[in-house]
Amino acid sequence: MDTILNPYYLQIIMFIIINAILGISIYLTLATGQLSLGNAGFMSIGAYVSALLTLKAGMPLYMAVPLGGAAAAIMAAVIGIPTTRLRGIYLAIATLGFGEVIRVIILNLTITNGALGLSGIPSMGIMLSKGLTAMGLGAGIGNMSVRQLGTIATILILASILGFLVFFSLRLSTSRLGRAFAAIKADEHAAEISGIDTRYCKLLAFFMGAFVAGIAGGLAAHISFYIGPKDFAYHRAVEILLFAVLGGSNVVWGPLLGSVILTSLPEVLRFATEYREMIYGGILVAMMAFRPQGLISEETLGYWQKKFTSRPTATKPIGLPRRTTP
Amino acid sequence: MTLAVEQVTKHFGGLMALTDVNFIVNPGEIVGVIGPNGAGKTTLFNLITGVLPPSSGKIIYQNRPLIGLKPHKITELGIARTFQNIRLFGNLTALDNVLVGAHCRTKSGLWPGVWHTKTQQQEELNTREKAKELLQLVGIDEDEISLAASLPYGKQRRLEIARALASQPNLLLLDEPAAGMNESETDDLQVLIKKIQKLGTAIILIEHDMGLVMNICDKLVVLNFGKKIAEGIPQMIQNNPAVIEAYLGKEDE
Amino acid sequence: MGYRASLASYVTLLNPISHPQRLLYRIFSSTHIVTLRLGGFRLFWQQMVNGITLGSTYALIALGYTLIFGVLNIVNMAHGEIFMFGAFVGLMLATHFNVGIFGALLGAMVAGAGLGYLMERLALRPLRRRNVSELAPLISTIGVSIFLESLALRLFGPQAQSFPAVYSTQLFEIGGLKISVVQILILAISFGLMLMLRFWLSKTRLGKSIRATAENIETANLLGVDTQKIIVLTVMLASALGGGAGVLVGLAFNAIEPTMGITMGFKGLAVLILGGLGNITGAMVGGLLLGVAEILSVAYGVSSYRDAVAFGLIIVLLFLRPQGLFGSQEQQGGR
Repeated sequence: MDTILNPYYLQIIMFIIINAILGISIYLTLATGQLSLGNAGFMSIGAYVSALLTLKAGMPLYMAVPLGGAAAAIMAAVIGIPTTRLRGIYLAIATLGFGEVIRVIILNLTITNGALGLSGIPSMGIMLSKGLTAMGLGAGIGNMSVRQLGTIATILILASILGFLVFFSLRLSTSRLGRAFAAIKADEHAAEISGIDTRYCKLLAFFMGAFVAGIAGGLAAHISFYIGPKDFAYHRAVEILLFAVLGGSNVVWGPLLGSVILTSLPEVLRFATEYREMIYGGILVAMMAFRPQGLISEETLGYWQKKFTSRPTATKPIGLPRRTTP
Repeated sequence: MTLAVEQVTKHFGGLMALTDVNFIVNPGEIVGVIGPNGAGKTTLFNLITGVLPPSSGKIIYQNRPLIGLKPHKITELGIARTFQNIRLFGNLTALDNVLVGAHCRTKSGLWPGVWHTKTQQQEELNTREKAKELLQLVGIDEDEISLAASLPYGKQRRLEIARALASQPNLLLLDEPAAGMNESETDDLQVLIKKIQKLGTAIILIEHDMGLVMNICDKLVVLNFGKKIAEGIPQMIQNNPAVIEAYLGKEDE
Repeated sequence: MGYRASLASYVTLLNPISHPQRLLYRIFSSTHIVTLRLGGFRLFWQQMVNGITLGSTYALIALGYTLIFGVLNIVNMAHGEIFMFGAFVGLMLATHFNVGIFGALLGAMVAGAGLGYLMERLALRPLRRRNVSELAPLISTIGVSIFLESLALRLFGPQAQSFPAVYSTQLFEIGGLKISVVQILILAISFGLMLMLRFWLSKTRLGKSIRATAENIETANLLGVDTQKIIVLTVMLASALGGGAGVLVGLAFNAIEPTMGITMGFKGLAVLILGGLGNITGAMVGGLLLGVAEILSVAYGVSSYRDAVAFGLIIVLLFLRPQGLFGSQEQQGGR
């Protein structure tokens, strides 16, 4: 029991979940064909806002984290209006630039403590175990202490947030709006001619991605007791991109797989930790060269679906599709 | 009057793509726009659908000027189009392509879509029913679940028409729908266009296939170098010397 | 950190008055208008010199981006890292092999060209064979940049290093403005390279082939241009310029570190967009403008937000005039 509940492993699981949520944040925006490299920036807004709310204003977590997400979303709405007019490369660069601007601002504001960052952020696990104690479980259950229960409760909460996001994404992809997103991704002009308000849809996707990234930031802040501007730099944005690129950028399961692989890899392979960034770079190049759609694609899902059910599935395209994502 | 193109001019820098083009499309009419390549026909479509603004002149649809409206709004008002070089959503199924076409006639938003509310579920069912009917109308109902990119050329063209019809247009703009088709396919297309006309939709048809054009168009507008050089019923246009001169050297279809 | 601190000291060092920057600012802000204008006037032009020097290096970097964008229609996100590697190679050559500045410059350019070749061969060429979206090469070059940056950290360590003091910090005085030997060198080499490039592109056959390929690759192919070779050549040329710029910047700031690639990369991107994607003149002018803007922002007291100047510029520009100062309408970030 103790090895499973080893706090180190549990923390890794927490980071896997948070990274998966981040991966979904980029997936949502990518669903309309927009590559936003600014999700590290949105994440930092969510992290700092929620951390400051709990640290300085004593706000409970269940309010602070959503407010952090909301702050990120508001930012996204503001910069999104001009940004979503841009296509492809311009959008990627603009969002990258925005992320950097946010980082520099955070570095210079006194309230965010500049380069030193915020420490002593209340831990979610501890807050939950305090709550459990209040509920009378101060002595724990079986041979699990109330602290361990707190950690498990944290994981459960994180997992349910992730689960909801997966559910949300799946439902979205089969709905009218999801079809509109896919149409925009495939051919934006044709989508607009077909009657879709592409501006609105792209903005909405951008907004959703930012909100999710903000939530992830808020959650991450309360899992590690410290956040600083270095945590949200260019490397973070690339890492988030990597989850989607590796795992699969077309389907919501992709970022999940990407996050599991990339978060646990440094733990499993010593070699991987030392050369982490180089491996990341290599993966990006290799994936684009050999399998741009990522490990899991709609085709992969269709293939496995066929194997397990007798439901007829969509046939394979004869030629290459017009554009291979991302 | 469904559509009135009034004195429309479009220039790109020094290049005059269209100069003072005038014509009217009446309800349920099939108007053919013909002319040598580069005559400005596709540009005309781009102006009508709001992709580009005219440099001068007006485009009026059902007594409403289209100037300044965004393309998706124009589609909502009831103008749909197909493209010269087929622009389907390749990685979506045929059915999904048509469902996308119906986007502006449906309204389920984000949350109804996620929670599967009764209204949303009902709307989905209705939209699917209608989409399947459209696939049947154009003759590709057995390819419902095929990816659009996997369909052969002729079926792709028909799928694009189905997608355009999904928005329930009063005016359908077809840009060279018969391009690359053999004779029997063109005959099928002719039947389909007539069927669409029976549904009450007016059609503007850009085509090079003279046989098709002569057979189904109620009237023709002939463009050359961006100017209208003739307008009238097909028989008159056939014998119009200006038109013949513009086409000099062009092979018979 | 070393690079950032050095920019402030660079400005201070070349200030005509020997007082430290803070003192100057306080004096100017609290003195009479007359004194302010006199001192401020000289200060302004002095900073213009600094700005143009810095800007010429930005222009060189931006040229690298522009060339690659011109022929391949992609933004090479790894260009900053190639620049950084050039700086380090130049440094190694200067310190360990005593080759002097011009030797270091040459070595850096060769190294840059080599890296560019590898990048084209391994990361970019495979993408051209497949039917990929325009985002794929962008992502691939992001991968290359991350790879190169961490490679540099392993090879050279994270500490800032500096060039041996080959040239004295002697200042020449021209018309009341002071300019150092290093600055003169930088200006001469940057402008020299830019002029050579312009000449080469417009007069030589190879240069014209590059322009043809940049304009329309299919037509160029039809006209007999070996576009594959041209692409490789252009990437190598652009990377050589980047590598060279690395040495020049290393000389200017006297501090080279592996993370400078990212910061400089962003600056170059800002200039690329400022000047209009693929526009050579725009890149040159834009680079100078950015250099001046940055120096002025440091000199007039908003130094901590200096890095944000470039990024902020990118953003504002993309919103207001995506085609840049010189770009044409069709390059707009719209349909």
